[in-house]
Amino acid sequence: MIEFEHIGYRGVTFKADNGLKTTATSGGRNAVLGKAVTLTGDCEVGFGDGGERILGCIFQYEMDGCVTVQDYGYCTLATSKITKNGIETHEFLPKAGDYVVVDGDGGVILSATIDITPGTPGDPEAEPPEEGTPDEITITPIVTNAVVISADNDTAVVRIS
Amino acid sequence: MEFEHIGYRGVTFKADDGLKNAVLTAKAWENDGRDAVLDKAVTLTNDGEVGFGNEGDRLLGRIHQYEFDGYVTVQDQGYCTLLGNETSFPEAGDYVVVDGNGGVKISTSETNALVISADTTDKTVIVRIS
Repeated sequence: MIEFEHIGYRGVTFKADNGLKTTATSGGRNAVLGKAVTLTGDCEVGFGDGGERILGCIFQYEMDGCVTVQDYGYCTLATSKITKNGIETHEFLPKAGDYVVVDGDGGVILSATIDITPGTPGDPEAEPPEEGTPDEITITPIVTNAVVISADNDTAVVRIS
Repeated sequence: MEFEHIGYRGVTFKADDGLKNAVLTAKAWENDGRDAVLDKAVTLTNDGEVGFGNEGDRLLGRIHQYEFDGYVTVQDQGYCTLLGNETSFPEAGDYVVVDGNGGVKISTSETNALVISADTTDKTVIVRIS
């Protein structure tokens, strides 16, 4: 495994939004450290809403409500799958080369438009039984400032620019 | 909060005729005319050349220094303060482009320049250029 962590690191201080403060107060620093954030207000960052552009990764949280955000370089972030039309497949998990945005919960999700053309059900009563066709899934990437360099099932090394 | 020059990267470009004329014009009533272009938003206007450009052009950076041989140092990355266009004044979270007069205005789509903070009194915005 190649180590990318903190290459190109740039730390910038922002104010934490109320959501971050609440999370840090109830869960302690570890509840917010290493999480993906977006700009949520003037000079202010937070987990934001799913699909928003990533600003960076929380490097340090101070109990006075200020956070140091790594807004440039390589960092490791948690990933989650997109659910579309009730479908949640491995294809929707970010992999190397994919662009990502925040998931609104401190992780990142695939940045893409996903179109699903429903398949047709088979007819098991037919003679011989007919097989249905699977759903056709089309994933069109949306370029962002954050590209995945390496990923496993839970985390991704992301290059933020 | 202070963001000025975090992630600063200075790059030398040639000034286009518009920039040179702005300095020369201002020289008549200022010390050396530099203030007409310093800290202004510029875009790439030609091969290796920068200027105020046209409204809606992509922001390349902010002029950090102007030399009288026609070269300029441009901060093309990091955080800097720029003038916000009064008729299209951005707020935090907006993406911006140049307004063609050395300031920046709201962009209708994502760009390389995100507004981090806006000061409606000074008519300035702090921009993260990437």
